[in-house]
Amino acid sequence: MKRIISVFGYLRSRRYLVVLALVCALAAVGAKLAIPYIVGISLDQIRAGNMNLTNYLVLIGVLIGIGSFARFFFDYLVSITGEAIISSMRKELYHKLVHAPVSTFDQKKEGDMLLLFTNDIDNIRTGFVSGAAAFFEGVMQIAITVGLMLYLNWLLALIVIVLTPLSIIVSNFISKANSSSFRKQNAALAELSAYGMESLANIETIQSYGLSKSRLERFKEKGVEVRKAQFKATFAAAWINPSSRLVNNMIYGAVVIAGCLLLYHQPAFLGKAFTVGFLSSFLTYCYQYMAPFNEIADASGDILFAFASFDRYQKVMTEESDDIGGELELPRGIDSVEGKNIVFGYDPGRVVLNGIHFRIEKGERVALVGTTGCGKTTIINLLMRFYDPQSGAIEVNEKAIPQYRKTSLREHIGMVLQQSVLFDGTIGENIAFGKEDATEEEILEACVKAKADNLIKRLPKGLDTQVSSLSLSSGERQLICLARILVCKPEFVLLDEATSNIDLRTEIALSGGFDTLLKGKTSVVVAHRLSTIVGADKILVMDKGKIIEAGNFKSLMEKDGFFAKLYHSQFV
Amino acid sequence: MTAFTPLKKYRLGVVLAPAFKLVECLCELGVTFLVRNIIDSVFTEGGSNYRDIGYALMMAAWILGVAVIGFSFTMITQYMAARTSSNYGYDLKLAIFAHLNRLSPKQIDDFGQAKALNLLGSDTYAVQNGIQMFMRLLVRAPFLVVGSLVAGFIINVYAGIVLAIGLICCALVLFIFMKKVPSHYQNLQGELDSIATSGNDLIRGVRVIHGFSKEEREEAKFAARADSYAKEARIIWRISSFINPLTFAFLNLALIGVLILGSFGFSYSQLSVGSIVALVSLLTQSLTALLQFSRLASNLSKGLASKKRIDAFFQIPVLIDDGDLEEEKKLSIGEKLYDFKDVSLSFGGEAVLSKVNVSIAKGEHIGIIGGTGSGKSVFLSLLGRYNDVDSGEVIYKGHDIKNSKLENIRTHIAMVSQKGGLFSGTIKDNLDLGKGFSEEEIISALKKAEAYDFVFAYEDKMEHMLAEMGSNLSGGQRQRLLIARALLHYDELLVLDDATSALDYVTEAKIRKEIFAKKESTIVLVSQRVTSVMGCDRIYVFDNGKIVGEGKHDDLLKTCPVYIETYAAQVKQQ
Repeated sequence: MKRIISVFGYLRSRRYLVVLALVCALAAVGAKLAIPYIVGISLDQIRAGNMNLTNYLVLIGVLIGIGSFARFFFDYLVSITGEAIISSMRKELYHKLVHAPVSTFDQKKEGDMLLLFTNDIDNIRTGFVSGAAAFFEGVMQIAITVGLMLYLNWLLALIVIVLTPLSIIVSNFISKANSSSFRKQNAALAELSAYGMESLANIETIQSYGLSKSRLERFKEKGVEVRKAQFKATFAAAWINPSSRLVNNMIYGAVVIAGCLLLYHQPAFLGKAFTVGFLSSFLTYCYQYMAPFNEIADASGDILFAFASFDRYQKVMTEESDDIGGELELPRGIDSVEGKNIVFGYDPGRVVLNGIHFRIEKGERVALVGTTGCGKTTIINLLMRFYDPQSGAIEVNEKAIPQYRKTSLREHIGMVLQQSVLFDGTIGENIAFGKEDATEEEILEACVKAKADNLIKRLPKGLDTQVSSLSLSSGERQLICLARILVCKPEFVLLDEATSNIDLRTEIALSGGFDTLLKGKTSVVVAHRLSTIVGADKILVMDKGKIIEAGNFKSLMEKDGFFAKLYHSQFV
Repeated sequence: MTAFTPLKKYRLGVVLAPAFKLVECLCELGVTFLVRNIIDSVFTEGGSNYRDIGYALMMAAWILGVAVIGFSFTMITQYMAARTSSNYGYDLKLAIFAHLNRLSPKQIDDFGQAKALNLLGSDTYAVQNGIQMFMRLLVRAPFLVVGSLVAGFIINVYAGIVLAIGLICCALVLFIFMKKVPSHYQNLQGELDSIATSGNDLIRGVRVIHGFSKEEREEAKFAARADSYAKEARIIWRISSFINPLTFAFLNLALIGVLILGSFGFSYSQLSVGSIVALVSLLTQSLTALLQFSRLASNLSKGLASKKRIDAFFQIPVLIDDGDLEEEKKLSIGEKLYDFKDVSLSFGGEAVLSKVNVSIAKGEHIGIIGGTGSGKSVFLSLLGRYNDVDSGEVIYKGHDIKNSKLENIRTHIAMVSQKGGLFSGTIKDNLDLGKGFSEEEIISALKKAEAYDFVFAYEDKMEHMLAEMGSNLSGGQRQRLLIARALLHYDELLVLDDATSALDYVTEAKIRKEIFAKKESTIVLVSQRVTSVMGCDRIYVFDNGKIVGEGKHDDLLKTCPVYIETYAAQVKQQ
């Protein structure tokens, strides 16, 4: 099973701990199993009339001591190691995702991805840690018990060994027949989770349009799928334990029958006398021998569950990482950006940019204008290298953009997007996101420039207020995102609808601050407000995926074309 | 309402299943006595069936028969447990979802979306699992332990005492564990929440993280949270590693006790060999059962911790509840739809609205203009009664708004706002919302919202699938669909909250023309752009939670300084 091998791969780096754990298991199980043997001998002594058992009792005491300590260390080592492995897996998952291309996130469901961090990793731990422990211990116990049974009475031992596969066959059969129900359960849960997440995010719309009932109905439908799948999966796992217990009890019964026959007949070919004491020890071992199978059966339900989660985990881990770009750095910053015949679409069939040409020189303030959906946000995606064009190229400083290291490129570009995202943490931390060594003065200075200082003053703890304790309006969030970009003072600025959610008065004041900031810097502003682009050096007018006009405000107005029409529609 | 309320209807099963399990336990104990019988009776001198091999074989056959009976009863229990837990899980999820729907959007934000999602997912599962464990396995251990004790006493009083001491010590160990661990499990769930939040931040904010090239740092932050979780988990492991060794030690010490009794044969403690064999297997059985129980105990701890979280969630009061009014009036043109009188509202001690007076009559086009933090969003939330005011009156159709049924108020308002609003599904579903509009009506709304062209440019036209939150559309396309939907569902009141911010002037102007063309419609238009509101019948100017201007455009240009400044700034830019 290739999957088991990949799981074991995680153990390789901790092999010393694993060996130590195995040694402890050996000692613990060994002590545990030696005791019934001593007890058996003691019983025969009693039957023979010898009542002085002191030596044997002391020996049992010593074995108890060894067994307890070894047991403790085994349990402790296994759980600590398991936890460490899970922790690594979790961190590796984050590492993988944080370096994944933006398209990975755009394509997947949010609720589904979140489950990976929480539920799936949890399941892997429950299954592989408890399952691993049961497995280690079980193997030891079975091996030692078989040895002792063979020593006591090889015939009875053979009977047991021959009948044991029955137990294994039964539990295997049940597990295999039901692994698909575990997968179905996971899938149904993921779908319900995604639906729940969407409902939570859109709670206002749902309540406004009276959709609560229909959302509830659909939630019920999906919930029913989950219920059915859960019942099947749970019941499937529930067969394993009792079935193997039944088989084990039958084996036990067979041993009693055979044991009685042997006690009665005492055939010579056994080699040595078979006593009641030996039968007693044998029966104890029989039980000890069968118990691990039960425990493994118990854990196999968890393990199956864990494998389903592990599959989901591996699927994400084996996806492609974001390419980090080439070798080139940008030591002196960006002098020029040129787009050459760019053709791009998010879906293969639908082209969004249909042959775009543009050139931006250092220090220019460029405005992207056009009808909605004509591709302005897409250009931002391409300039930041969140996506790459299907054909054509973007060149920075006369070299194709893929040749530059992505981090180097993005270091020089500051970006404010349409959706304002604030992270868990304080307001101050969010503003200093791009520059964590920013001093409080720098942060406050940026707030003043972004006209967010009044907002900060109104907060209960100012910059130290936790984002999660606030409910900010989208305009307020944008103010903070603007302060965030202003702290970094990037030389090339991309603004996508940045100022459209702030009231005009504030925006006017802000644009004054921006002008000071943008003096001598390059910028590309995607906005619908004509007032913000009047001051641009170059206006690129887009329609249906192409740039149809370019020039400054005066020249475009004189041209009296598409742009002029757009402008004149200011007044109805 | 608690986490266990949905369980009440399954209580018969919850009680019955363990009862059936008892039968299986009895069978297991029975086997012990059968074996003792064989040894004492057949293989010990003086036994009643000494050397009667036929008798021994018959007893052995009984062992097999009893095993089958035990199995059948167990399977019944398993079935009941699986059924009950999956049904209960479903009911609990529904109850949580329903309660979520009754809370206001603000309450959900305060509670935390990621936390709410955890309630529906891992917390419900933990409780469900706990119930299932209870029904399937929980009864076995105590019964086997008690049963073994009773059996022990039946065999020999002193042996029974030794057994009792051993088992009580073990039970003590487990009890201490069950007391110490739950609080740690709660901490652990808290750490898991924190990991979930980090994951959520990554999923939502990947562009920002990449944009600032902060991948390494975010990774370090996440690693710290993962480590914190691991640290808390290790505490739990440290405590629970004591269980096995201690129970092992106590029970085997009890075994030594039994042997001592057997060897130093007091006259009343005469133990037959068969009895000792039986006692040994009773000890072993009860030890195994106890250990199984301790494994369960940790599952139960998890379940309990989750139950507490769910209980706490159900405690969140529904602040805004339905009124009693079954029917609402149908107003005629000019009658007041809303009348806000001296309305004030504070959040967390901070005033967001102060003595606001607004009236909206049927057929009026009302404009609202104001900056960020001016209070206009909070005011809009009052229209649908998503918040209640601290002082002042909100009159809806002539009576206190609290008397109305929430559905009656909200379904008559068609609103376009900043917050999302599109679901995964076809464009048609998103517009129709299951209300059964005709295709002509939908197309007409699309045309008015200037969305017809782009929708019909898709190959599957209105059947085109939208991703969650409409993320496969541009901002402008989303807004136009939301406007189309509002126009389609318009019933009594149309509210446009900065609904055209992502649109260019041409498109916006066309849409505005369409909307205002409905002469008898009641519209509240909120905007940053003076040009958008200047055509309204009455404009309210919000500033810092107060109304600083009220009237028509021309009046405001003379009387309201804030309005004058805003207008001038905009005109100046021309």
